[in-house]
Amino acid sequence: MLFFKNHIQRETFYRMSLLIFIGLFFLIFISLIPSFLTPILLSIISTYLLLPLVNFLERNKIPRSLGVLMIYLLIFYLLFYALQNFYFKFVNQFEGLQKDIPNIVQIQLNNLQNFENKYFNDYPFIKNFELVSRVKEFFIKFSDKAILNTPKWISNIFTLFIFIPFFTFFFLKDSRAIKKWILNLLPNKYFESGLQVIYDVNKNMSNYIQGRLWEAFIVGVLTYLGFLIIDLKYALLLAIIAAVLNLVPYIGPIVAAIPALLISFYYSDSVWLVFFTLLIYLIAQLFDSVILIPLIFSKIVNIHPAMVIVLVIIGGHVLGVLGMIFAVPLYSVIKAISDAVFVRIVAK
Amino acid sequence: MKELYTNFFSKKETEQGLIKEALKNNILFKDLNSRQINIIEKIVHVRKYSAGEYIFKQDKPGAGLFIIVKGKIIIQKETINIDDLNEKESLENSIITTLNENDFFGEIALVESNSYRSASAKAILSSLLIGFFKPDLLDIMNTHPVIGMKILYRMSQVLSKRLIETNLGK
Repeated sequence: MLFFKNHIQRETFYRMSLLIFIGLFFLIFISLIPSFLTPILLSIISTYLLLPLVNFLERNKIPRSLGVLMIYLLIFYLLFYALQNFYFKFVNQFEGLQKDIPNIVQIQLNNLQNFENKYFNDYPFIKNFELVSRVKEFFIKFSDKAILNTPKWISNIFTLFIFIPFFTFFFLKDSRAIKKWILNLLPNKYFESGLQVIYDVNKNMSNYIQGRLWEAFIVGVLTYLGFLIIDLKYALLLAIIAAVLNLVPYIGPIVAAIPALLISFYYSDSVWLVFFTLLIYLIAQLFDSVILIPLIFSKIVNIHPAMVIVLVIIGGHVLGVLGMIFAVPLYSVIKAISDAVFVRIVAK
Repeated sequence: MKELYTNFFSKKETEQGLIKEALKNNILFKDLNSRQINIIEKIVHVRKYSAGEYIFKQDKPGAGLFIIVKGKIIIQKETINIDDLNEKESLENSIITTLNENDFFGEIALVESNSYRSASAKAILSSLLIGFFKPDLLDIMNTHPVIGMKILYRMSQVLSKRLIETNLGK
């Protein structure tokens, strides 16, 4: 090997090129079938979430299919219960917010206009930015898009509600058969390594997904409690947004804070409400990063924060919000595969 | 018509029967009843190897044991010979043992963490093997603890027998 000064350089080169090769393969694969992928990815999440329960029932001598059915019945009951109790609250908050948004936007626009007028004399170049008209344009475009896309979203959500339980059922019931089927496709030479890789990836993914969902849930509950204490409007809706967006690393929590801050700004008589809202977000994020993340993810491989941001951006480009959520676990899968390929096949 | 039947259905059935029989005869699964054997059968992996094919190679990571249903396997160790006169290194394969139907090998990898194969296994006839691996054992221990315990008890018997043999060998 003339290119490399020593075997360590050669090894690093092989490792990097394997990682890039497998990563590109996944990227191309995902970008080819994004519409089909969403229900499958969401089913995988729910499978990992429910798998410990199915295993628990199997341990207590309840066959897998019956166990899955029992869990489904329980979930439907809980959903029904939640709908009865929270649906109207949620819908009320959502509708209220829908009515309030134009007012909130208008007030912010007025503020912006005042700001522009105030500083126009001193700094004439501000006029060139046309801040007010630009922001107005953005909101009009955004709301047009939202209204136009609503039927599409509803039909998408409806398809997801049919497909996710369907796929999840079979993933849960036949997870062993699916694993065996994949392994049967492997040639003898790679069989044992493949088995180990599938096991490692499976374990990491299940730890990661369960960890992230618990983290999101706890952050959501914390935020909700905080908002109840300071009596912020739309507490439940904002807490749900905070929980869901918490799944997107780094960027999500910041985006989640924006609507809450706008609302607190609009409804408050003093600056204190805005301050407390911000404080609650900060406390929730601090709790998340100081207590939850070390507690939940101590076993999972550390990825450099800069790498995480790059991954989230790539994920967002390829698959939207879902891609942002899945970028990190998918990267760890790709890394696990390329590491295993290196250790078991390339090395020696 | 009869031939067609044997080709399409019977062949698979006999293979399945052979696998069940091999599992029943193996010491690790000796304490299991037929219902429990059925559960194990759903978890284990059945692999076919042609004559001359390696099952695993020395110094590669290992994940579990293989049971021979049909065929013949040799276990061989590669050693490096250093020829002082010519200053050359050569590899020599020495056969440790030959294994037949119902024998099993590679069981250390089932319980050892980060296990590496101490010797290579190679099929000398076309062979049908059952693979039972660490993830499968962990799965069984998690979902069927009683079966897991029975297997682990037999496993420790096998290992202690090996230990006594090695000590006597000294």
